[in-house]
Amino acid sequence: MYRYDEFDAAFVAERVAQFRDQVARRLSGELTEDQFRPLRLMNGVYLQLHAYMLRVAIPYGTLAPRQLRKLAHIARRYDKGYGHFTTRQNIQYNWPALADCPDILSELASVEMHAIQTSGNCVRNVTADQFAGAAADEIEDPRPYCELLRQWSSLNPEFSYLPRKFKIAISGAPHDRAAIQVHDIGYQIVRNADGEIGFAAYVGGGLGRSPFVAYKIRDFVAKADLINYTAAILRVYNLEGRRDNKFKARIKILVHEKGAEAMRDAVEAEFARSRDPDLVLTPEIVDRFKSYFALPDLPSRPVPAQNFEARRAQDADFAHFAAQNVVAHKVPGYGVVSISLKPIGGIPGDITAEQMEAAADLAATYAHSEIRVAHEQNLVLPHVALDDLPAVYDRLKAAGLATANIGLVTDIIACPGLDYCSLATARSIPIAQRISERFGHNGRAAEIGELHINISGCINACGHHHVGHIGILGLEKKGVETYQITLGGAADEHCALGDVLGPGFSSETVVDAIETIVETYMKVRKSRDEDFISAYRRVGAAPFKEALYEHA
Amino acid sequence: MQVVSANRLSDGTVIYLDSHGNWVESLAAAAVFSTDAETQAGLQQAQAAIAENQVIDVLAVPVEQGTDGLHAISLRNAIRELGPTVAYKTSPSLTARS
Repeated sequence: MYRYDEFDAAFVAERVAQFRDQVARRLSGELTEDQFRPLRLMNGVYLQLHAYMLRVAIPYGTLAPRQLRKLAHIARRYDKGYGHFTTRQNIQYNWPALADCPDILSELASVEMHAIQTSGNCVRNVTADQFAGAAADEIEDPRPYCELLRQWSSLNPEFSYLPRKFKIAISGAPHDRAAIQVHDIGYQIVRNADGEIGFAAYVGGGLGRSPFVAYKIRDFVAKADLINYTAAILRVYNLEGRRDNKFKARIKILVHEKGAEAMRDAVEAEFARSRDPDLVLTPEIVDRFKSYFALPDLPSRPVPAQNFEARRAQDADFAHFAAQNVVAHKVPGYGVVSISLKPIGGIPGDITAEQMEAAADLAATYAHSEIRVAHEQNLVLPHVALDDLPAVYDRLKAAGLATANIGLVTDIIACPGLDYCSLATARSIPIAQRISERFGHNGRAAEIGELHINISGCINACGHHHVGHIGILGLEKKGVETYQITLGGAADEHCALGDVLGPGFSSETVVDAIETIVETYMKVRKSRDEDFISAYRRVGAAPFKEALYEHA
Repeated sequence: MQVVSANRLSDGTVIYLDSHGNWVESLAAAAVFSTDAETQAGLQQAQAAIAENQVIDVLAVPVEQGTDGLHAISLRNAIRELGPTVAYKTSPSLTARS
């Protein structure tokens, strides 16, 4: 993975020293809160309901064991012993003291991490497929390009004060696991008719109060042009994006109001006008960045894997784990193992310091020292020999990390909601916990099959509810939590926004409503092979509405 | 009835203004203001604490007297008062902010 050079190390150290001085000046009263707020936000420090919150960047969701151990240490030393992985592949600490934040940032810098640009109207953490570099279906690893964009956009003076925050995601496989079409820019790595690898460019996607699926404005951006083309999009946005209204300031609104064709023309004109030779990615630069993310030297392993097959034959729980949490690796004899952070009845994305250390140890021992964070709020061990899977499984189980539910109804994406967040209007975690309990026993979730439930505690949609197969949006109406349900959303290459089903449900009734929806799906599906979203696309909303509202 | 609340500047902890002008962590110990004028006076007092860099994000919190004492009325303020409604898992080892 990418290692800091002297420039990076000095850059981050300088930033820590700068923030230490800013915090000292704030605590002494030299800076007012109005002066300090934008400075702390630029360093990932928010004020939530109960305390400050520190959001730490995990570029494209890639971590080394020493970094995850440091995150565990920070959780224990400066917080309450746990962290929360987010839908931007970052980690949040919910209880840090402001006075400790400079020390935390210093600790992070010691393992080449920081919190820069995890807030503010700038380019946020560039996200990627969590299986990048390992997945069998991948055209090319997107992370070298994420890292190039990260370096170019970090504290880039031209793009540090955009109209609003800006999110970029890159997928390296035809099956989109990075939700690129609900990003400000989504890049899909593709191969053109000449066999060259480049990027299809999508612009103007996003969730929040005005959700839009992105428009594809170019079928193929050459690798050499990735930075210049991104700069062209950002320049058009920076000039034309609305700064008069915070709620209309994202690029999705500009694209929507201007029209996709006009946006494409503007970007192409800007690209032609301002293409900077210094920002052209030469093959040498690309190769250098690719070398940082080279596939580890994976020793040849027997196929079929005997340990794996033997354990699978005799242990139904292990077999279920292997079926649900392991996908094909590009190297035969290996698998990509997802570690669910969705224990039945647990808090989605939360992980204790001890669990972080357990995952770090496993990565060091069995996964060539790589860990990934998925935007679905899970972890991934990307390179595990299938013959080692029994040992990995046993240790995950001992750490409380062996829940076999990836992609199932209990693998719920949920934002922190009103339990933590000052913007939230309703709680999301307790709803996720109750749904998980409802479906998480006696093999019921596996019987239901693939079904993504996403929950947000307000219209800002950090829980990506618009693109859940079942989306749940928590709102407050007359002082009471109410939950609006959408059906039919999808975040993958068939990206779609869910349709609002009808009137909302109370906290007491929403889990029953979800059960009614699931039961209706079980009745209408042609077979177990027809998953929820396929069935919904075939039958539409009518049977679900009827079951929920007319038979109620 | 209202009380005046804020977050402590140094660590963000939710605090309340008491009748002696001190900031305390327990809502039960907060000064209760029965009229808008009293609440405004409390908020003015809080402005001084802002100026002295003790607190941030001052707000008036509507409260009611329950059988077990004084509590915030809205869910948001009840969560501010009592903490998350979910049982987050902490490290079994000693932590800084446990």
